[in-house]
Amino acid sequence: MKRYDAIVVGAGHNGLTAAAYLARAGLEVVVLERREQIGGAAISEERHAGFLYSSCSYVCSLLRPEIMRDLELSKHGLRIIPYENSTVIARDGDSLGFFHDPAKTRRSIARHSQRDADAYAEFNRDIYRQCRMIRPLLLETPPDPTSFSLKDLRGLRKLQKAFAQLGEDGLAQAMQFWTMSCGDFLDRYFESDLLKGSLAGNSIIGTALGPYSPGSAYVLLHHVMGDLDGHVGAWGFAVGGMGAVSEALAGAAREHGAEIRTGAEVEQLIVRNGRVEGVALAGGEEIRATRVVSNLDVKRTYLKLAAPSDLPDDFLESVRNFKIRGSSGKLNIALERLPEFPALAGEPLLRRGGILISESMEYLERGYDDWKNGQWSREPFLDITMPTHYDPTMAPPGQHYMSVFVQYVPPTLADGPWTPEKRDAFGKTVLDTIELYSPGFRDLVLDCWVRTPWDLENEVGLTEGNIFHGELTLDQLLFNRPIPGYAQYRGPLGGLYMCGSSTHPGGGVMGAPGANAAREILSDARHKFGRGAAA
Amino acid sequence: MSGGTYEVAVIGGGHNGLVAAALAARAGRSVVVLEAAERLGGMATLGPAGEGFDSAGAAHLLDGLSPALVRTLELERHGLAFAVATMDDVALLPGGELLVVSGSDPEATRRSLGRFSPRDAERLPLFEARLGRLSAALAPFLDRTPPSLRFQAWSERLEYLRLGWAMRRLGRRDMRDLLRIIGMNSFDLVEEVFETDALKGLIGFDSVLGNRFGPRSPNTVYTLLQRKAGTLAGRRGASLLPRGGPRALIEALASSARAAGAEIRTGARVAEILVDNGRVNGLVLADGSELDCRTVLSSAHPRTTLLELVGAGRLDADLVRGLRHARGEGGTAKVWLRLGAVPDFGLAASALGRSRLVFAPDLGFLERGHDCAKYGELAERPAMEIVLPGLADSHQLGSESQPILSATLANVPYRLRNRDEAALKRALIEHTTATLSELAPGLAETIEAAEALTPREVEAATGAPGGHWHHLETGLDQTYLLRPAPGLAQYATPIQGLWLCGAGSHPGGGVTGRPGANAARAALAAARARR
Repeated sequence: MKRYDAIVVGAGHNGLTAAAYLARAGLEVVVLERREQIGGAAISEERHAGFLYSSCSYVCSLLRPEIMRDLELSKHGLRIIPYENSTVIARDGDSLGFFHDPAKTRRSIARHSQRDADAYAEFNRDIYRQCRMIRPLLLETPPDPTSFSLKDLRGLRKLQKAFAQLGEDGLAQAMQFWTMSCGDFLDRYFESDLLKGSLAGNSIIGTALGPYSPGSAYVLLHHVMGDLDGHVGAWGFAVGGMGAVSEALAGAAREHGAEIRTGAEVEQLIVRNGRVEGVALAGGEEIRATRVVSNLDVKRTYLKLAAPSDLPDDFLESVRNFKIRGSSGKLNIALERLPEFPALAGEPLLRRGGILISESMEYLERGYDDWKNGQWSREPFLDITMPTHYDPTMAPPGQHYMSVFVQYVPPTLADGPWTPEKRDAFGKTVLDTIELYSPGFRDLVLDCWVRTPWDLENEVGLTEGNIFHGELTLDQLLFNRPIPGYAQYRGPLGGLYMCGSSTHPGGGVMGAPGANAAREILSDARHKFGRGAAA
Repeated sequence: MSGGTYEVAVIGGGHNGLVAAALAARAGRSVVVLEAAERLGGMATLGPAGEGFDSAGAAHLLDGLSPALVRTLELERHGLAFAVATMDDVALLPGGELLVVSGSDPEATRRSLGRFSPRDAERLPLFEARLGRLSAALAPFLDRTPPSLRFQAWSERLEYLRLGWAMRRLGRRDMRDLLRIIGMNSFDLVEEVFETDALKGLIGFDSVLGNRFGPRSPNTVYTLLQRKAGTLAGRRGASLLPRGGPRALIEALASSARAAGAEIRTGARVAEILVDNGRVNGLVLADGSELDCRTVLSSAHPRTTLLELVGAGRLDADLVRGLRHARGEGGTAKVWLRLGAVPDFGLAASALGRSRLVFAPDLGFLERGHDCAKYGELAERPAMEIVLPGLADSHQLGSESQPILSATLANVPYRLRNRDEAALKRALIEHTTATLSELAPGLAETIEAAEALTPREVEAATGAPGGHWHHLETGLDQTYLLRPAPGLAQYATPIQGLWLCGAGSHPGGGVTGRPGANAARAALAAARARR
C-alpha cells in the first residue's frame, strides 16, 4: 500500500500553501478535499449564469509577499489589482473617500473636520509603526514563554527585540494597542463620526467584538497590516475572483509533485501508539502517511477527526474552550447594471473600491448588541465591493457582480437555529439597507445568494461560520493560539500538525499559518532523518 | 503671605494622601497635608448630607486595604477596628432565592451552591484556588513601583526579571493559564467553568464593579485578578466592614499621621504648584498664601495635578495628550435608603449585617446593564452591591429599628443622554427602589428617606474630573506601567520633586492605600539618593 510523506486534510488556501512548501522540499504529498472544488473559503463559484462570485473571502491584501515569491504564484496565474480608493457613505447623502493620493484623502476628511484631516497623518504614522513591528512576526513560529529550550529562548529574544526597537513611546503605544478598544483608540485622534465609523469597520470584521470592546484595536491592526507592492494597508482584487489565489497555490503544489484529490472527505485519523499513521475516508478508504497536516480548525481537527481516547483530558477541555464565534454573513449579488449611489455622484471613481456602510461607532456598537442578543444587526455594517470594475470577466458585459460582507450575524438566533425563512429575512434586511443608500437598487438584482454563518459552517466547514477559525483576542493570539503550549503547529498526537487559521497568526487569506506549519514539519523531518533526508 | 515651610507637602486629604503623609512624617520629614474641602476623606467618606445619614460613607466595605500598612501605621492603635472581618457574599435572585458564598464557612457555601448545581459546588473551591494562585503571583507587584519602558536602569531590568521569575515560579501549567486568561473577559472564563447563573452573575459583578465594563468586555478577568490580589494580601476572600464606617479609617489615618508629626489643614485649596527650572519650588494656595517646600506628593487626579496645578505648557505634548486621553468617566453611583424596618431579603437581621448582598442574577443581565450605560441610559434594574452596616456595627447610624441600606450601583452612565443631572439622581433612587421592592417585599413602604450620589457629584465634591472611583479605569491598557499614562507610571513626574500618589497611579483605586504608600516610598528613596 502506498505511503505518503504527508497528507494535508483540506484544500483551503493554508492547506495548499503547506502542501506546496512540503512538495517543494521533496515530500510526497496528497491533499484531500471534501468538496468537489478546492479553495475552502478562497473560492470563485458560478452560481448564476455568466457570473463568477468570490463567494466567501472577497479581497486580497494579507497574502504574504514572501509566499508569493517562494511559490512563484504569478507564474501560476495569480494577478492582484490594487483598488484605487475606498469610501464610506452616509444616509444623509454625505461621503468620505480614501484615495490613493494622500492629498485627496486629506481634502475629503477636511470637508468633515479640519482637525481630523491633520490627525489622519499622525494616525497613519502610528498605525504603520505598529504594522512594521508585527509583520516580521507573521512568518515566525510563536515561542513558548514557559520553555527554556534554546529555540524558544531565541524566539522570545526576537520578540522582545521587535518590541524594544519601537522605543519607549512606541512600546507604550503597542501595549495599549494590544489591550484597548478600537473606539477609545480612534477617539484619541478623531471627532468625525463617519471617519471613525469607517476606520472602526476594520476592527470588527469577522470578530465578535464591538468597537468599544477592549482588544478590538488589535483586530484593526490585523486588517491593515497587509501590503500590496509595498503599500502597507493596500487592498486588491484577484483577477478571476478569490478562487484564483487557491488555483495558483494548487498549481504551485502540483508543479512540485503534490497530488490533490477532491470529493475525498476525511472521516477520522488512524492512530497507533499515540502516533498518527494516516486517515480513513468517508467511503472507507484508508490512506497512510508519515504525517498528517490538518487545515481544519482546532475544534474540527481534535474533536471530529481524532478520537477523544487518544487525547489528554485537559487538552480536550482547552480545545472545547477555544472561542470560535460566527459573526459575519455574505451576500453575492448579480446586478443588471451599475447601481447609483447618490452620495458618490460627485466622485464616481469612488464606486470602484470598497464602499462601506458604517455611519458611526455607535452604529457598529448597536449592531454588536443585536448580535449579543442573538439577532442579526438590524442596521448592519456592510462592506460592498464590485470587482467587475477591474475584472469584467466575472460578469456578462455591462452587468456587475457585487459582494456584500455583513457584520454582525449570529451563528444561531435567539429563537432557535437558522431556517430558510430566517435566511431570507436576513437577506432582506441587507438589501433594504443598501436600498436606503442606493434608491432603485433592488430592481437591478438578478440573483442574490445569501450566506449566513450556518451556511458558511455547513457548506465551507467554517465552525460557527467564523471567518478566522477562532476569535482574534489576546487570549488566542501568538503563543496562546490555538492552545497555550500547542502554538507551534503541533498537538499532543505525534505526526499530527495544524496549518489552518486557528494557528498563529490567524485568519485572513494570508497563507502564513500554512507556510509556518510547513517550516516546522520540515524541521522535524530533518531532525528525525538527518539533514537532507527530507529532500 | 507665607504659608510656612515644609519638606513635604501632600495635596489632598483622601486616604492615599494621608497614607503618604503618615509615611513621610514617620521618616522624619516635616509634612503638611492640604485638603481643599472642609472635611478629610476624599471619595471614601463622601456621603449624603441628609438627616439621619451622617455617618454613611461611600466606601462601605474595605476589601483591598493593605494589611502591611495597617501594621506600619499602627492604625489599630489609632482606632481602626473591623465590625465584621469576613462578610458573606449573598446573591439575590428574582423570586426570593439566595445563593450564599460564605467568606468564612466553606461548608455553608457548598450547601447553598449545591442546591443549584452539585457540579459547581465541587468546582468553586478549585476555581477560587486557581485564581488565588494566579493572583498571588501578581500580588507582590501591587506594592512595588512599576518599571518604565526604557529598559535602562539596572533596578528596572531587575524588576522585569522579578516579574518574569514570578511568572515562571507559577509552574508551566499555571503560567500558561495566566498568560491566556489575563486578557480574557470574565464572561468566557466563568462560562468555561460554571453552569449556575447566580454564581456566574456574582463573579461577573466583581469583575465589572468600578469600571465601565460588561462581563463580555475583554480585560475583566484582569480586574477580577487584581481585586483578588488585593484581598489576598489582606485576609483571604475578605470584605471588611470597618467599625464606624469609612470615616473611622480616615480618622485613624489622620491620627497616625498627626502622631508622627504631620500637620493637616482642611479648607486649604492648592491653586498652583510653583516650578522653577523644572523643579518644585513651593505651592500657592487659593487664599494667596505661599508655601515653601521642595517635595510635593499629590493625591489629586493626575490631570488636575499636571494640567491644572502645574500647567500643560510646562509639559511635553505627548505626555499631555496621554493624560487627556486616559479614560476616567465615572460609572458607579451610590444610593442610601433609611428604612423603617429591617428589609426582608430572606435573611435574619444578624446575618444581614454580615452579608454583602449582590444583585446581578446572571451575566446577560450585567451585559445589558452595561449596554444601557454605553448609550447614556440607566438600566431599569441596575446591578448593585448592598450592605446594611448598622446591623452589625453599633458605631454606625442605623439600627434594627431604623436601618440604613447602602447600595453601590454598577454600570451607571456618567450622564443621561439628553437629560439633566437631576433626572439621573431621580432615576437612581427610583430604579433602586423598584429593584429592591421586588427582592424584599414591602421594602418600598418602609423607606423614610433616600439619597443618591452620582459620578458628577463625586466630581464636584472632590475635583476629580469624571468622578471615577478609581480616578481612571483599571483595564489592562491603563494598568501597571501604563498607569496613569505612559511615562508617568513610576509616581515621578517630569517636574522634579512632584510625585503622584493618588488612585490614578498604580495599582489604582479602591480603598487600598497602596498608591499613596508606593509613591511615598519612591519619593523618600529619591530624596535619600540625592543627599
